[in-house]
Amino acid sequence: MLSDFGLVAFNGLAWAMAVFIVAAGLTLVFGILHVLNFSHGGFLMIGAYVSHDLLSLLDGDVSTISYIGAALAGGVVVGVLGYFVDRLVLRRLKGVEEAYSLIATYALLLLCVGAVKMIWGVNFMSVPAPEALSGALFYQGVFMPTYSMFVIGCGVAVFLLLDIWIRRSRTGKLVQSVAADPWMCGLLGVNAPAMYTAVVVISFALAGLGGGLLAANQSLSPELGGHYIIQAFGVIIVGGIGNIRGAFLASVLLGLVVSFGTVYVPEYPGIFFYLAIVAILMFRPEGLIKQKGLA
Amino acid sequence: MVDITRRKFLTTVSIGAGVAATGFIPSPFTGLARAAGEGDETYKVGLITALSGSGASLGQPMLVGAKIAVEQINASGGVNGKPLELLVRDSRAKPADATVAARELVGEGCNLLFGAVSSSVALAITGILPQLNATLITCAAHSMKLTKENFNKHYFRITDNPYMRERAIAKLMAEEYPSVTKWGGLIPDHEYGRTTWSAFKHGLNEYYPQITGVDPSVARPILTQYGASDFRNYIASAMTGPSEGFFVSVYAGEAVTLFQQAKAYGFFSKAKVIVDSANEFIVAKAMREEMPEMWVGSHWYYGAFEGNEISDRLYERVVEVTGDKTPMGFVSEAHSAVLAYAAALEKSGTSDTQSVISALEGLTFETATGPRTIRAEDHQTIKPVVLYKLRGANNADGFEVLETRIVKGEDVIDPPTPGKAINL
Repeated sequence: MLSDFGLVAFNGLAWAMAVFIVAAGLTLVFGILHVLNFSHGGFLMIGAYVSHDLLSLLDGDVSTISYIGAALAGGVVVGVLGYFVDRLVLRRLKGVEEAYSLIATYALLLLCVGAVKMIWGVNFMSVPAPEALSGALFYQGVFMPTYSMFVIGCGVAVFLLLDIWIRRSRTGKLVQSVAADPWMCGLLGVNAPAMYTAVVVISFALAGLGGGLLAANQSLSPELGGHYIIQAFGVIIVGGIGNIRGAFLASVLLGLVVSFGTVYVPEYPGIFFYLAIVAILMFRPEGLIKQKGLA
Repeated sequence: MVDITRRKFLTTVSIGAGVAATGFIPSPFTGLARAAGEGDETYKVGLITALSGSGASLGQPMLVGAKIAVEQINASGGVNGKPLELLVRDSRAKPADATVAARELVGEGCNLLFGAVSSSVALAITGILPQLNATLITCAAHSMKLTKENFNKHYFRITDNPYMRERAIAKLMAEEYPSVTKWGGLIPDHEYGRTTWSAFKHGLNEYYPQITGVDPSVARPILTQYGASDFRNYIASAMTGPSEGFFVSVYAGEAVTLFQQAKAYGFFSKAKVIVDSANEFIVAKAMREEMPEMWVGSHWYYGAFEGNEISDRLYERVVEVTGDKTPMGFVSEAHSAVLAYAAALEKSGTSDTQSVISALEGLTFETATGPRTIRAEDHQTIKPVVLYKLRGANNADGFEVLETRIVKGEDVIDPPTPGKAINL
């Protein structure tokens, strides 16, 4: 019985961390630019495809180091794309009504999907997990695939890095200041536009990195952009928009709810995610962690 | 109060008239003006399929098959001296888009429709066919409702159906794996998933006692969320159950994700046999060497019909056009739908809808899988069920076909009961 609960909780955490990896960059952009970037999933998809191509060049067993390296390369490529997206699109959305931002970023998503179709085609692809991550551990009666442990580890690492950066580093505190009061920061000599661009690039790089890290988690197709985005939006809304700690907490909470719901009420797969969001927002409409600005 | 000036009124009416004249909004006048008739220089056939979105990997091969069929027929002089003209619309696998596409095509004078990847699209279009005075031949949609409770005379199915396919698979399992008597399923929680499972279970309960003398033990299927990206809990449930054989009708990208995630759980060691209802080469092409051994249902496999001239010519042309040496069966189904319309047009001498319907009923015509007959009662085609065993391999394709089985359609087909739901 305990091992069953353990397995369900473990699978829930794996789902949660996969979604958090996606949500992290999304909540960063919203916290600073107040733009709900609907194209985030599209750029995650591009990161996954870039990783796939790089790993294909190895033509054989892929090591964990090369898998992570390919994911980092995907992050760099998408980060560069993010710079151009910021210059050409996101800057122009400052001060624009949110509905228009959503439409503009949705259009970007369609561009991503079209580009993926043109470059990689419509057929499904897959990236096998590295040999070292293809097995499983058996602990206290709980069966834990190594790749799931890797995803959990990556999610925790992304959270810790972001949280430490935002709260403890000088640049992180500058980013928080710009999010809270860009006008005053400008008067004090902070280059707010440059900070915005830096945050966008980091957010996009996170999307690309996330795509690479999660490449072995599911099939690759031009529809991959849409697979995680609804869950990611759910997580950032429940967590408190623009709040990294809230997003982490929300993803864990929702992941456990989804996992237990799937196993113990199997007649209604997928419904618990939405029920949990409704229930939480009824009691905490501002999200789990109520805090102004990005943190 | 609405302030309408004369200028606004005239502008609005002019725009409306202009749009109606383009046929974008079907109107009685444009409909009559554009209705298919003997005065047209071509016979128009309209393909409505998913060329984008989640169904594109099925819809794109259909487009290839349709284009090749039209090209081949026109190269041999067309039908009744007139060439075929192929019109194409992207349904995006969405019923709303598909019905708009159907209305658009009919508005352009095309009453002979075919395609439809998803059952929901097929059901949506079928519902409006009498109103549009058009026909639809589906080339993939597998809902039993189309030839049962939702049947109407304007609808035709050129493919096999789940009753035929899953029962053929069940029979094969009883013959090849008589010792595997404990079965489970991983099925998507929607119409297609439930239908395929019901038919497979029905087949297990019929054929195992008949062939092995042993009643199978069939567990409740595991329902997976449609569109899921995480199947771990479903896989864990499958691992803890008693089943040794697994029927999987999760399809396309979700099937790839499921099998990818299943590997780490040792699912392929536990499962003595895995049956994939309909993914053709989709999973094999995605997973390549990682593809586990499994039996897969298909509409057409070129390797099993070597010597069939239509199949050989179709395969050669597909490879020429696409460069893909392992085309999927959806190519053949769209190809066959066009052949069906061509045969019906030749027989009836007209593209009038009622005449084409009469010509299609009971029609036998040659295709890439041999002769097919469209049953007059429920418009279900009697065609062979194609099954093959696949495994990942270290070769250029990334996989190999280990075995093929062709099951005669007439041996596994359901009795015709148009208008009544099938009881499985």
